[in-house]
Amino acid sequence: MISSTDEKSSLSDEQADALQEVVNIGMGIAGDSLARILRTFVKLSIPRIRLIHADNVNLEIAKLIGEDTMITGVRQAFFSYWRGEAISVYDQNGCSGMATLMGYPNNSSNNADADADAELLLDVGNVLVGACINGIAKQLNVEVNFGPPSVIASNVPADALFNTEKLSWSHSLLLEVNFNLEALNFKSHLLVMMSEETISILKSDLDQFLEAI
Amino acid sequence: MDNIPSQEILTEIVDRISVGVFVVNKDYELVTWNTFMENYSQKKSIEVVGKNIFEAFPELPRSWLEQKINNVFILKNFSFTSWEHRPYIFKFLHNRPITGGIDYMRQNCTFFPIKSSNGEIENVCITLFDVTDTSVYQNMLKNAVRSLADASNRDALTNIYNRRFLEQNMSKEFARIKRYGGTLSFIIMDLDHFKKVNDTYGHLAGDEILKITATKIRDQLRESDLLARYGGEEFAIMLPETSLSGAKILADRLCDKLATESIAFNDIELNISASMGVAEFQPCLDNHEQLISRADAALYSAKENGRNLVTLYDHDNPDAFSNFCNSSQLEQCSTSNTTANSEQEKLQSFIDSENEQSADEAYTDTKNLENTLAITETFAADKQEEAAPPNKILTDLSAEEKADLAMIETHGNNLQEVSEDIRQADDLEPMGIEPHKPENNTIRVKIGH
Repeated sequence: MISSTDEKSSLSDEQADALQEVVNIGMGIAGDSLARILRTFVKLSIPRIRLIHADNVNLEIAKLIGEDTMITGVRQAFFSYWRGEAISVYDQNGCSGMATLMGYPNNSSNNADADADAELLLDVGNVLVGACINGIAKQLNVEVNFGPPSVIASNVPADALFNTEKLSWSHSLLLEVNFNLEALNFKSHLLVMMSEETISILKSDLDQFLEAI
Repeated sequence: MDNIPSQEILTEIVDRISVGVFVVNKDYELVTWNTFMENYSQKKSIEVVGKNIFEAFPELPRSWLEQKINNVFILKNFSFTSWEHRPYIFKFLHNRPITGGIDYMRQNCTFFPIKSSNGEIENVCITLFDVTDTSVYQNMLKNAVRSLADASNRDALTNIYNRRFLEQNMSKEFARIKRYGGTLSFIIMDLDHFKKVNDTYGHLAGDEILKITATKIRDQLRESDLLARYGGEEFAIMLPETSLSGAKILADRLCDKLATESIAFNDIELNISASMGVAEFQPCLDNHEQLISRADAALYSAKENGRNLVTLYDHDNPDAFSNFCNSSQLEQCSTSNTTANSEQEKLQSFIDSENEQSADEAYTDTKNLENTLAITETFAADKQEEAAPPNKILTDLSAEEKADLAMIETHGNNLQEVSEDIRQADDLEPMGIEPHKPENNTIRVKIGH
């Protein structure tokens, strides 16, 4: 049984195909930017797109990330007439391998370590989020702004990223892609989430995109 | 067009806004420098524009900031810094020199690319927000939360930890040992005849004793030990990585110290003593409550055997313990061996024992007799006389080899009731009238010096 919200939020087959294509290309652009900035080979997964219900958000995310993983999540807002949040997710290894490339000193012997680690996470998250969202938005002729990133969960089980009691939305579009930089022993999942209002805007953006082809 | 603000107005706004705004090009040369930046850096726009920012401000974190700016050029994307992780970029003085309590202005920065007319990114704009106030309030909040959290873990009177915090840590430590190995001992103690102090000298005197006792105990502990006020006049100590024998040494020392050093309150010199139960972690225990129950059982037998005593719960010798417990469930919960804290007291108890002969007979039925110290038997016998009918004891002891750990919890509850009884009994007894006890077990009160 599909509720009216489900129906309103779900994409038509054409819209879904178009979105998959746009996201594929967008993530490709993001991967390219990353490869240039980090001067290393970036391996990207094929982006996965889901329409999820708020009640299942933790379960869905755990399925995408791996259920027994302990994760740290950095969220960041993107806004224009799209509004959503992107979350970059790291496992226990974090992104220490990226420290030097991001201009952070790679020593680990002082008290400011925790702060430096957190700052690096935010910085790397910002790069991933910016590259991906811009990559998608550009193809749909949308200009996007970004808010500052912040840590939402530190070393929690993959199925505990969200406090589900406090969600104000019922449906969300979830885009997932994972980055793998083997040379740097770096892995991250990027989750892009947009709730009902933005989904309907996105649908009309996709329709315009399809018409323009 | 009329509805577009003039260039002059925009320039004026950017210049006068109370946010730092400056622009750098690909060579890290300053392109603009607004009034906010002028004011706080004490450097005029004409002095720095056209100069490399790292030459104008050598104190900047160069490699990090270069990379940060460079990424904006490459990715054509926003970038951020937060005071929470990097308190400041420029060493600016802030506007809370008196009340701030921090060194430099706290700064949040946003970096964003600026497109030139040909569509290329040639400049990066950096906006710098003074978030000193925010940081001061946030730190106040953090400190308040921290001290509330600490207060919620402490006992208000003695300022040592409370029972809740102790149990939390016991639970964690127990789980750690279960997983990674190691050991853990637990001491629980009860001040003897404490209610009489309150009744005779008032609660202020009682409070003073509790405070001083807490301090005395704490002074004997190591950094890793955790002392808590467990109940009214009960204290408990968690001793990580400490064997039963190590815990006994500490308990004996504490028992001795508390009994021999009097506590002055106004013109009164108060003498106290404490009874202690000690138990050590065993792999067969399922949870920390069971360990506490064991120590509690040992405390109970210390109370029953004259107070001012340290009693060890002996895991390997279940029978001896059963005798001390006024409960039919105890035969299944395994064991205890009791040890007096001095030879003097052992002897005293031995002499005090009114019916050692029949007690010995009771023990011949126990399977572990040969393991039982003679002196312990005496204690057991002594206790048995008071606490349980002999036929009960005999039946109870027969099951001793099948120590069923699942029963310990029930036993623990039971013990609490029992020890509650003891406490009540304590309260009813007239001071010092307990004929079978060594003299130094009673509270002696001297007036004056």
